[in-house]
Amino acid sequence: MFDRLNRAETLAGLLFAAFGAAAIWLAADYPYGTPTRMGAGFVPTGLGWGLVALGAAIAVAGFFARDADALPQSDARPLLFLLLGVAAFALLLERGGLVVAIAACVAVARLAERPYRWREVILLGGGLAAAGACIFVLGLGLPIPLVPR
Amino acid sequence: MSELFDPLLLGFSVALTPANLFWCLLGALLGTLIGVLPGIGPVATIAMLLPITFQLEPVGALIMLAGIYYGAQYGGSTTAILVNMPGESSSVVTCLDGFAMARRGRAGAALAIAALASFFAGTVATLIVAVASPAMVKFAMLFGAAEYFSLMAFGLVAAIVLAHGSVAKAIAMTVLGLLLGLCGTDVNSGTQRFTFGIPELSDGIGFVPLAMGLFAIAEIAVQLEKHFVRDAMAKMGSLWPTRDEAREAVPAVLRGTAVGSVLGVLPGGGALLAAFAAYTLEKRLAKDPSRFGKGAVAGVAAPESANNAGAQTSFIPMLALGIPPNAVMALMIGAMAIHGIVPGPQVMTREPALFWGLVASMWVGNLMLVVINLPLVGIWVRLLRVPYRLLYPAILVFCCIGVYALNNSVFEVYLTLGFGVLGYLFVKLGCEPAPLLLGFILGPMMEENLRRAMRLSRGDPAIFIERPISAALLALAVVLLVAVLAPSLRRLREKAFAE
Repeated sequence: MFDRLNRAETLAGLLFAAFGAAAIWLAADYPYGTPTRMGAGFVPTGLGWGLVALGAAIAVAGFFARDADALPQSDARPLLFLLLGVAAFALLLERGGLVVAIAACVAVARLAERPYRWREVILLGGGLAAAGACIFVLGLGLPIPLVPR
Repeated sequence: MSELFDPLLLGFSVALTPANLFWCLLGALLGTLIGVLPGIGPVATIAMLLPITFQLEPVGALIMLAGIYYGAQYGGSTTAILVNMPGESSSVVTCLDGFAMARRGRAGAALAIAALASFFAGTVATLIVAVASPAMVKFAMLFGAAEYFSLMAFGLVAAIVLAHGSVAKAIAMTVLGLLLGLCGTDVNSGTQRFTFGIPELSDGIGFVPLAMGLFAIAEIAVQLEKHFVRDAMAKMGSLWPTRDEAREAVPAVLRGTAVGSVLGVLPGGGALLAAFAAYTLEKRLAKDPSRFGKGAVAGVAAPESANNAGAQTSFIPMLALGIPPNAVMALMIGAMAIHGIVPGPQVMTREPALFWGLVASMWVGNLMLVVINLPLVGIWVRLLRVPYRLLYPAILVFCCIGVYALNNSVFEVYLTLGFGVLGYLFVKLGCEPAPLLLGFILGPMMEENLRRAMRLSRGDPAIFIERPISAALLALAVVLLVAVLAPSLRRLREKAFAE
């Protein structure tokens, strides 16, 4: 049972069906209208039902298929640190300025790949912070704070 | 003839100004750079650079962004041939025979053939853009809401048929894309749809955070998971192809250019598909198909000419109809919108300098790329020695800055993060993100045209089959869909992608 659920096809189908159901549920609050005068909910509801049907069909076909690929082996560690790096950038940008945000982003995101050498990371973070500040703020004049306010 | 040459002269007078030459060169260089480097493609790069184009003249901005797209097609082959790794997804097939040639000591010849094939294809495709766009603009004048809707429906079906993997999943991805595209304020009623009360979403989901999340972040994560080991770099050898090699390359280049030019115009097409199709065709036509994969010259010449031709002709629907056939063209439309240019058939008549300047710059850029690629190949190769652990933080940082700077919005950076997770899931579940992106772009336009057509017909859907152009487009879409679902053709399609 679990093996059959743990297939790329089945999971993809369930994901699509979930998105479709969410769309139908949310769009129920929008005026539906008539075919002549379509309201805001007309097209989203239709698409939502379509997605539910497709997702269900994909999931069922995947579940009952005799030979299907299991979910590929994954290592979520790189993704996790990449996301944390982006989050660090977003959190720090308007509070700490571009230089701090870039340095933090590099320091965190660099954890996604070994080997982690401190000197290398400091040089890379510093270099990218300097390059980012020079190109985007000093060169192109984009209105991004450079240093903490 | 002057109908063709007068506008082209105007175009060259725009493209050859020092400033525009500079933007063209910069775009071509950047394109080659990201083409050579694996793990970053033109979609992410152009998205990153959109905020920069605020500062430029619209012509210069578009010339530079276009250069990145076709430049990447040149750069991708260098990595494919020398290290057996696609620098660009459209160079996947070039690896097969390009690297095999390199192992035989013919790397230089393979590079020269790839560059010259690309240049020839680029020249022909530029001419096709110059001839076909005005014709298409005239055709578009006949279009009403029903025709536009049917055209986009046809486009989506074509994108589904041309996507890798399961057809059902590609359809589902397209529908999901359409839904995501509807997020934001409904233009007709002012209703906020799928915004969850977040003010930043009232203008809809940004294309750049979506593309960056699905393509850049998910792509880096997948690359890091692989811990790939690079093949030893091949020796260059002489740049000049032998007479036999040249004789084998010429017909392959001609066929590759033709295949690429046609497939580039189709929605969901563009460079990647063109290269695959051209390679498959060569293998079918070859007297001795077993030579493919072992260093057949045609296996380098055909896909490399096809991907460049496809990259170029995909500008036709974007320029003539305002409908982007792929993600890169959607970004080009975004760049136009930044400068207040409304894409559509009127661009050619209202902004002839921009239109023809861009077309002329494509040829100029292709000429530059031959020069950039062959003598400077040593420099590009050295770039490949930069380890990925130094490269990916740089890509990530520039992505973050690019996303933020577009609207000065931290929210969009968080949005990118979310789509990064989704993109990673899609990769793991075997769902190709390209149809989703196309659906996302076309979603609002399709809904608007559907509503308009239905209002005209007073709610009678027969309008879509009563109007001949619309009916023909829909019929074509149905035929395509049935064809791909039919068991015999399905096997053929699977075989084509497996090769």
